[in-house]
Amino acid sequence: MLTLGRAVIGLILVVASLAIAPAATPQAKPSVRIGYIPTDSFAAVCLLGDRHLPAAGVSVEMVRLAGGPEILSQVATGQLQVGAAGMGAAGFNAIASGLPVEFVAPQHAGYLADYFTVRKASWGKEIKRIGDLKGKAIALNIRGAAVEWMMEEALKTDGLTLKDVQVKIMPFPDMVPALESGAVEAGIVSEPFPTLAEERGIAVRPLSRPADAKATPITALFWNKEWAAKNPELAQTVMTAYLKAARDLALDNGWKQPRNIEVMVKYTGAKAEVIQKARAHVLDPNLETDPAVLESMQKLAAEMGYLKYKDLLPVGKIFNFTYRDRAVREAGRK
Amino acid sequence: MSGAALPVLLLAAWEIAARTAVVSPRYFPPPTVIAATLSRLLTAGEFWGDALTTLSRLAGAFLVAALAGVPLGLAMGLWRPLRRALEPAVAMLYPLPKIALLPLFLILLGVGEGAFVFTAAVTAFFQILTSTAGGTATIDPRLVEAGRNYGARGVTLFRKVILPAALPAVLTGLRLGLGLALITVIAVEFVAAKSGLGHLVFRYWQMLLTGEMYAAFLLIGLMGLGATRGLRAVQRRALGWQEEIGWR
Amino acid sequence: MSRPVRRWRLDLVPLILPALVLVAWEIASATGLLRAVFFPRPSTIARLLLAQVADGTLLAHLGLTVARLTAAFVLAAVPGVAVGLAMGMSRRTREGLDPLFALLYPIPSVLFLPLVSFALRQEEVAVAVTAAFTSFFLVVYTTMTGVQQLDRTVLEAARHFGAHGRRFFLTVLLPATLPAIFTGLRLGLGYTLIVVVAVEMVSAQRGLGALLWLSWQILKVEEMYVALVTVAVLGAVLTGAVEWLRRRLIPWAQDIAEVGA
Repeated sequence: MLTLGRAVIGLILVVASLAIAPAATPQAKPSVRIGYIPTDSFAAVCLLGDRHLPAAGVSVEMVRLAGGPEILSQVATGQLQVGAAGMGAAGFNAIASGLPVEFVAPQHAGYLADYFTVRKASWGKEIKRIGDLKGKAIALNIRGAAVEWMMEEALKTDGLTLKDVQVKIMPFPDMVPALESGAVEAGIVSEPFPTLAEERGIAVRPLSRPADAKATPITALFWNKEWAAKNPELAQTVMTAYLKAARDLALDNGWKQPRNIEVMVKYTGAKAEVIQKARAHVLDPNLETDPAVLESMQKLAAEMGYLKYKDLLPVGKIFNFTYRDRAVREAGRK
Repeated sequence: MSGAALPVLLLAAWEIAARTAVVSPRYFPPPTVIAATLSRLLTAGEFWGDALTTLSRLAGAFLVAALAGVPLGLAMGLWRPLRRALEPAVAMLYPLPKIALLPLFLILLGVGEGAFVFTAAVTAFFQILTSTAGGTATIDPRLVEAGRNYGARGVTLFRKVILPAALPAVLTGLRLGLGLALITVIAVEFVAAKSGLGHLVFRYWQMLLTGEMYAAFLLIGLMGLGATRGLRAVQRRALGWQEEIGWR
Repeated sequence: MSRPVRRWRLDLVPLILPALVLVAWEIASATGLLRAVFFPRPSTIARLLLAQVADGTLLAHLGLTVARLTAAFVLAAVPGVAVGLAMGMSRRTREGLDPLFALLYPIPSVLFLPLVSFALRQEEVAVAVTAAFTSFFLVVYTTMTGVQQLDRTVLEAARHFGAHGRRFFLTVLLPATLPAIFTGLRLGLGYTLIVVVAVEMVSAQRGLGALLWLSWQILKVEEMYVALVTVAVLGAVLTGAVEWLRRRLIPWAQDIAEVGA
């Protein structure tokens, strides 16, 4: 019986996986296990694992996980070598706790104007400006990460802080019915959900991008420090491949190119048309990121009580840019 | 009034409410639309692979839970010291949502089928254990005494008297455990897997395709229904002597 | 067959297993066998737990979870017992509803939450309804099988002696089903706690589940364990309370283990 056979296999797998320790057995072909979350903001990591690393002769296993802390913990314990996650308290705490992870490059950034979404029914009426959000319910998908920082910065422009609003935490898709029903008035919503909400006529994105605006770094690439130290050539190969992946997206309207969208569809299951219509994420073709913003994020996390430590970490302790710098040097700046 | 009328009435009410937009058809699509979506997706070949994956995870989890839970439950029901020793631990571990422990299981077991099956197995295990132990502990003592009076001892007493008397509780525990195992498998697939019906539900929700999502729910429900029917058939065979009570 | 075991020794037994596990864990975590960042020492967790109890934050979360648990449990148990009894007594009701329930039971109710929230608007009501969902079916099923497994001869004898309708129900059927109902309520309560915590993990801003999830999201792992321990203790206390109630209300349900095997 098929199910019985599978059940036996399941049983064997349970026993076997209990017996297996995180392995670092040398193999003929270098291999890397990469952790990701199925959302198109992880496009760079998906292109890395699906296109450029295999092209460089490295065998890749893409492992889906539920969220940032899962990926961080898997990389920290060496079961994955590479991963990406939101920049925020989890990453700061991980490094401060002495876990062997180091952030090595940004993965995606965003503009507030693309994320800040307000109920269409309220905009222009009860909510004419950011200051009107006082006491209202705002949706965030997580605390201690870039979206919270973005919201705080937005509120500050009109004299408010996070303490003046009612934050409701929910996953991005849940924000759409929440905006529709009025459970929240506004939110920091990631594509494709603001576009979907706009299409349904239930929400708007009223802010426009100022001319000198810089995108907020939201997620970043990291890897296991010990693995990189033991395999510097492989780590550099990963970084070089990652730079290529980033440039696939950052140049020539890469976020909208069908061949890249194809990969996004493969890993997220989203529809190609939806990704096409949504506003593009942002990634610098030289993998640059603003350290001042990172410091500001750490400060906010400390103020909110999210950090396990008192003395703020210098950015140099969080990010190791040597691999990125070498890759950009060798490939030439764009 | 026939009991079957109630579900039909509920479905009809839902259909009407959705069609007339009393409830939002976007978030509560009419049952007819759901059924049509399911049949469309099934004939298009979707769902089958994921359904099979979920089924195999379910089978693995259920088997592990049953093989561990039934013997331990019987032992706990029969032997007071063991029960006292384990009861506090069980009472404290049972209420932890195993999905909350999933990240820790993933660290210990690594990401993969093992961790998924283990998480679901643990949930079902506690259920099966509790039901079996409870049922064994409350067997009518007169039965046991009667058995003894007829000369049954030890293994024979166990096989001929205790086990059959405990069987209804064991089977209740198995049926509940099966349902809980499926619930947990779906929840685990939703958050952490790349395949399975739970993962499909996640994908559809990420695209806000509620029709397809409900179709997946329906299929999950049918899978559960089928599994419990199967267990019920086993129950009927095993408890042949017990007549069902029907008052009307 | 079993020798009478001394009273005091019996009382210590439940402590042995957890104590051994805690000691082993403390050592493993302190020596680095278990990575302390993800598996902190029980002593650290205990200290943090006490600190959070002292400053009131933990109790605030606990209170919220208990309130939601109560609401959800009542929502599950009252209709659950009623429907379970009905299904146990009437074949037609059972055959009508059982397939519907078996169809709905395997769906993790947490996945419904955004839809239920949309429909019900009131967040706490949505939480209670979602958490009550699976427990309702648990209580129905255990109550129903409780009725079905009653010793038919006893019931027929009662009928023979003139007990009918309501009198039969109140003086014969209900008392006979009480042990099964209690088992069902105990299971339902336990499972309601699980789902309330799970729902809080997805949606709430306060409550033990929210504390659990948020701590994990910022990798403040010790706090996550504090929440886990609190949930575990809460569950154990609730189970104990139901058991105590059971012994008070239905003392006649004897324990076979007391008779000896």
